[in-house]
Amino acid sequence: MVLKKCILALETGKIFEGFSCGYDAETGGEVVFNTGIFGYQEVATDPASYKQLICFAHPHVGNCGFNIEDSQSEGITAFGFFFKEYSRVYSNWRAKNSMQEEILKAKVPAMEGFDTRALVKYIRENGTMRGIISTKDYSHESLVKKAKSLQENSKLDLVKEVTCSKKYSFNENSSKATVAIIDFGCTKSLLDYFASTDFKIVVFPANTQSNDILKENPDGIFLSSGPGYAINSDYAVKTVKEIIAKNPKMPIFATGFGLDILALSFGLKILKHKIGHRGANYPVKNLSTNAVEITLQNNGYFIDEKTFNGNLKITHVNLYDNTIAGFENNEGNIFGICYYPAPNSDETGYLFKKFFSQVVKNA
Amino acid sequence: MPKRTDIEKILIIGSGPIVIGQACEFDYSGVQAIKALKKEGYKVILVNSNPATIMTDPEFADSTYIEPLASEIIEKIIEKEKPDAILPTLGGQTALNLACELAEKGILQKHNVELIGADFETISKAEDRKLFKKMMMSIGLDLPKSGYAYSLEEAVKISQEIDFPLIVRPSFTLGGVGSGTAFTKEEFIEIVTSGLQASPIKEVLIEESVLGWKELEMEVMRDAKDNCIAICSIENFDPMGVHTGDSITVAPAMTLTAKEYSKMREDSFRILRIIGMKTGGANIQFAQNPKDGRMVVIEMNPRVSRSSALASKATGFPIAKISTLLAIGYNLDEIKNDITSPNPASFEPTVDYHVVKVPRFAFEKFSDTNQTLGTAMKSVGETMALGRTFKEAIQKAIRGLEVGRSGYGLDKTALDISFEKLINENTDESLKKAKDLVRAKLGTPNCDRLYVIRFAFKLDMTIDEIFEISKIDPWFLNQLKEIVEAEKEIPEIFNLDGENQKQLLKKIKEYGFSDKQIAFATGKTPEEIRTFRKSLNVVPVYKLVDTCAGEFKANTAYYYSTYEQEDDVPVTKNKKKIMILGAGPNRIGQGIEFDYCCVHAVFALKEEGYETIMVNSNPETVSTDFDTADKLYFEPLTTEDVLNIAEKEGIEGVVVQFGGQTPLNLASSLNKAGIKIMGTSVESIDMAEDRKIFSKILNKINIPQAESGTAVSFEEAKEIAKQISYPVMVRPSYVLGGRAMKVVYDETELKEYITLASDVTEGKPILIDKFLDNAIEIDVDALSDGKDVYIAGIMEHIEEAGIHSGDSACVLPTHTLKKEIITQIKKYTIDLAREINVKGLINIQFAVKDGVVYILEANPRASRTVPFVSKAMGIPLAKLASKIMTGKKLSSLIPEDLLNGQLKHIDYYCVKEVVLPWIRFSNVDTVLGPEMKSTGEVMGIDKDYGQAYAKASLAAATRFPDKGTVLISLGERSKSKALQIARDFISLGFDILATKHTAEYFIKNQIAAKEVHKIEEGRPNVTDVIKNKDVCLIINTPSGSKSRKDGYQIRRTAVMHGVPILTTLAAAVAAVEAIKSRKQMDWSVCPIQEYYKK
Repeated sequence: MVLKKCILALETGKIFEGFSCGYDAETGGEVVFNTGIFGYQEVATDPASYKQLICFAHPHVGNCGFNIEDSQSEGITAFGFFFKEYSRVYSNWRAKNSMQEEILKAKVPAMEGFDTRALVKYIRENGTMRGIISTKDYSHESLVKKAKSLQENSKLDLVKEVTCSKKYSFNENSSKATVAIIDFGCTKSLLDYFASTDFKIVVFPANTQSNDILKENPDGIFLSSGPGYAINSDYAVKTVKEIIAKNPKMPIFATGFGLDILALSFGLKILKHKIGHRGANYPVKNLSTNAVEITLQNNGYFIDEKTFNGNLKITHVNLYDNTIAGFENNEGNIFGICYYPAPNSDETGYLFKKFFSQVVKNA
Repeated sequence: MPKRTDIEKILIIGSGPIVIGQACEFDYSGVQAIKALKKEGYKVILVNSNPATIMTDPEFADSTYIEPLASEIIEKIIEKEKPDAILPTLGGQTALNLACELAEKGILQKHNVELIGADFETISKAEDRKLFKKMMMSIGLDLPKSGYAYSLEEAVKISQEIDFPLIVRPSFTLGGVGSGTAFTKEEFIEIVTSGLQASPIKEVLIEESVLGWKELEMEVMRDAKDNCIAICSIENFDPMGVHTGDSITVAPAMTLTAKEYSKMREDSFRILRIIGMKTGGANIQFAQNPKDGRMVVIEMNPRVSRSSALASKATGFPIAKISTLLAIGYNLDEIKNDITSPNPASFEPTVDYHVVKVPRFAFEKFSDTNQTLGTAMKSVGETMALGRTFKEAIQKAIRGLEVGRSGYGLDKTALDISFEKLINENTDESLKKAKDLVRAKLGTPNCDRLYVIRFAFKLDMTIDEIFEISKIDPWFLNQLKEIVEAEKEIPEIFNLDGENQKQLLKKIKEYGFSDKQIAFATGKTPEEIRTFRKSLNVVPVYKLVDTCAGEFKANTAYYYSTYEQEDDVPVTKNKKKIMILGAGPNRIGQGIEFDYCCVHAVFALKEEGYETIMVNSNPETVSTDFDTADKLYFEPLTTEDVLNIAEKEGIEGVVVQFGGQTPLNLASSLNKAGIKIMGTSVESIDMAEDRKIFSKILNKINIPQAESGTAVSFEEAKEIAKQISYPVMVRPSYVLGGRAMKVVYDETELKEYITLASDVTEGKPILIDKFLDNAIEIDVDALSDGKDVYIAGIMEHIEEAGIHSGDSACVLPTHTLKKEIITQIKKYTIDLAREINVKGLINIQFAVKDGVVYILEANPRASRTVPFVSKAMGIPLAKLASKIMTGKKLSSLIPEDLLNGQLKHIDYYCVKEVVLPWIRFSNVDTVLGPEMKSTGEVMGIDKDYGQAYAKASLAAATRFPDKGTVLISLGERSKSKALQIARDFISLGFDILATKHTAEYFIKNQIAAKEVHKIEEGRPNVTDVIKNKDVCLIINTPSGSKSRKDGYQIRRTAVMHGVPILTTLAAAVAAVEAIKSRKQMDWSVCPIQEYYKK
């Protein structure tokens, strides 16, 4: 088997060479790494991974193939991948097809057979940065030039690329209460979960005006996770601000990117992480219970603690870097966390319970 | 919560001797625990009967008791030390069982001692399968269908409600003893019967078989605040049905999606909570049906385990240490992760490499046993390897196993040769035969299965076919297939040039192939491949084990090799470095004793200001703890792997004296490659190993040696044997640990040996030595710097010469030897050490017969008895030897008056006793001989010799009775000497029961003995009285072939029914002493620190 060469060029001029195991193409994006061992399917299809070139730190990827249930969107959202070794035979009872088939469907390149730990360490030392992955152009110089001229993800409004195109709903006939989801790139597993409750669920595109949301008479609002830097989605900040102003008692629950939008609407500042939090092992301390939660994160940004004000209360802290991992307003009806909570888990499921009980009270 | 201040003194229970299922991993965990507790300011009391442990070094605990792990002994220690708490979760099943016994007997309550880590209720819930099942069902977890039986009838009833095959598990046994899988009713009855026997509460669990399902494990921890973390997932390459200790396992799990993993993780936490595991680490096993994903809980161990040691080494996360800190009150977020400090310990490690563990077996020593792997563990050791891919890791693991393979295939092992022969013959018939063989070997789990898969691929079997037969996951099979395919490309390498050649070589190395394999495939020598490879600059890089997959900077120096671009290792300049080679996987004959020595070498060389570099491949050990040496390279111990590190680091020299035969075998090739061997030179090692040179030296310095000769045919052997007179000891010229060694008494036996023994083939030399019948064997451990000699200990064996020294009990100081004999031994030791210019340790074995001291053999390296002598005498021999290697003079280390002949005086006795794995290997005769079979050792220490022997025996699980009936059945050769023993037993109040000839002989000599039927003489026969426990002690010496069958039955029945049995008269004499002492005085306990003071 003759393997096709594939190159990653970083904006700093650093080059990594490997072999192609994806689509014959050239793409650019933000080069990040993910340290999770399990869940490459979820990461690769997470809308929050949009326009990222993801390096998986774990060397074997693709070993369980792809199944129907675990994708977090219609298909692969990332723009490219780096593996130590792509598994050509996959094995799992739920697997339906290979990761490679999905990669080819998404027409994104993937590179394997090189020192991915070296890439992880390079990003660790120099921060996430722009990069070009290509099987089309093997000129280092030209690729680096292209990488440098890429628009940085942090300057783009990526949400508009992944949010739903129009409003839709689940459990329309439910008489219980209504939850509005603002879809910044909500993961499919959460959408499925909301759909499985007995609430009426209405999902709105990210750029929906506050009036249009409030028209549905929601009893609670969920701000989803999503890709990119929240300052580029000022329309969403405006919407959330207005909802809070009009309905100060409205329960609002935000996760991931949604928390950044929430923070901005409270006048806080959002900063870019040097390398971000991408993986499944981030310890977060819940300050009200003192419990440590091991969390799944896919974040590139964090709240500037210096801008934090007295109307809000820090509820969760990232133990790795002491950044804010969650806050709530003093009334406690508006809250959020920076990680991906798992609704049915003993560890983070309480957040949904808290939200739903407020929603029911508010109905 | 910060640490508890209401407790000050903590007793740690160790795990005792190395047995199958419980090895040095508990020394590793115990050492971490003691260090952590001491650092936190607690007073630590330790009890462990195993002297070959680092944890029992006097510097570690405040008071160290090398005493038997029995409840009455522990109570004495509790009375004396008055600890506030006992930490029972670090000493394996032994410590856990003992803690339960102490609780049940009310000893804990009486002395107001608390169990920390896991309390009695938790242990009971996890250990009692019935309770466990109830608990699991209460939290909605799925389990295999099952039922409990207390009799065969009940068992049969249960079996009618579940489909065969059925798993039978006796309750409360160690490492799955007595459990098995029954495919038929007949097998079922057999397993249930022995299982009911093996269970101390006569209870067996009968379970739905999940045979062939995926076996998965989780290593999890919980703190008092209910924070739970998962350290590591482990997937077994061998599916359910093979004990996890006997399975090839990998970390992390490879065939689980995030959804399945998350569920398994959360289920594990729920189990911790419902079982009430308040703090510390636990291991939980699951099985998953590969067809529909149904996942069931198999079992939970509320303690650190072999798997947790593996998980610690696999991830870098120190589970035992953190467990200890949690037990004294800290929470996970209050503890720093040493590796990525300042990060807290409350995180989950993640890895960017792949870990493979492969077990090591010792079936060659127990050839009569069934070699099929099942639910009772049979392996004696393991090796672990890290690589960036499974392919690389498994190949490294295979060569780290030291079983004559240098990777996956491309070796001349007997198995490979036989398959290749059939494949090369290439006829329909030969190929069919090969395929049938492959199918048979794939279908029943065995230690060759991994290697047979390679031939399955060579015979064009598909992954699906192999999976259908073996149930080994297709993902693993494909990885192996990729290796087999790459193997085909290797011969091409010298037909290529330029970049293509380099690319192929790189790929082959990335796939984990060793230079030796490449040499094999290309007809070159490994040295040529090495030179070629280096000329293309294809050299390994070393990556860091950092618990975080590279996300953070890490402070450790724990590395593994791989073939990639970037190297993580900062090579220190301007510091003198010494490399210490470990002992590799445990095996019979090479175990924890050598790791003990290696760790001491590290300590000593650090003291001397050297940077220490440890190389080892055994995950169970203290030597591979990340903070033992300055740098740890977790690598196979082969010339290639070791040279790569040596060249990279630029070491001053390498220490090969301490890791047993493993590093010694590398000495000459390392030396040839220009690496300096520290201490005793390669030439000196050869002087002792080469029989001809050695004989010459002995002649020169006038040390008597038993007559010997070398034969290449039966005719020659016959002549030599006649010349030096029977009995003679025969063995193949190249053997390890006494393998295939035998004492033969006449020509018939000699012929039988030469025709039957598999390792003895005509044409290959056989060594024949005069066997010194009934001689006393002596072991001497000494230190020398080439000029001065320090004799550390002269040990007198309890068993006579002819029984492998590793299987003999021995006593320090000697208790029957005359002064002149001791003087002679000292002189010979000093003369020999000087003559061969020993710089470090030397062990010499002597035999004393009729007042003459003969030398049996000499090994200028650390022996198995170094830890025992060190503990007995209170002198750290391995440490001193290491300092000698750096050029220090003995006279600067040892008081002058103890040099060159003066023994250190001690006013107590230390007895070393061994433990044997008979119960693990059905059908194997339990007679001791020149081939070593023991797995571990214990020490009994006391002012009284009999008491010391009784302690050693108790520690080795032989509790001598104080009254009852002794069964005596003797071989012809030993009858006369047994008279006094029988008389002694009678005067101690015992009754004597004897088999026909023995009884007749006794009666003839006025000894009151009752006769018992031999097996064919009618019922009740000799085995009936054992089964009914009508006898409390058995003395049975083997005889010639005539009554061998009866003797065998007596010995096996005794083992299976737990009746103490002595198979040598020497041991019986010692037993008499012990029983006498026991009748005169109660147990007394004393820490070694106090013995040393006197």
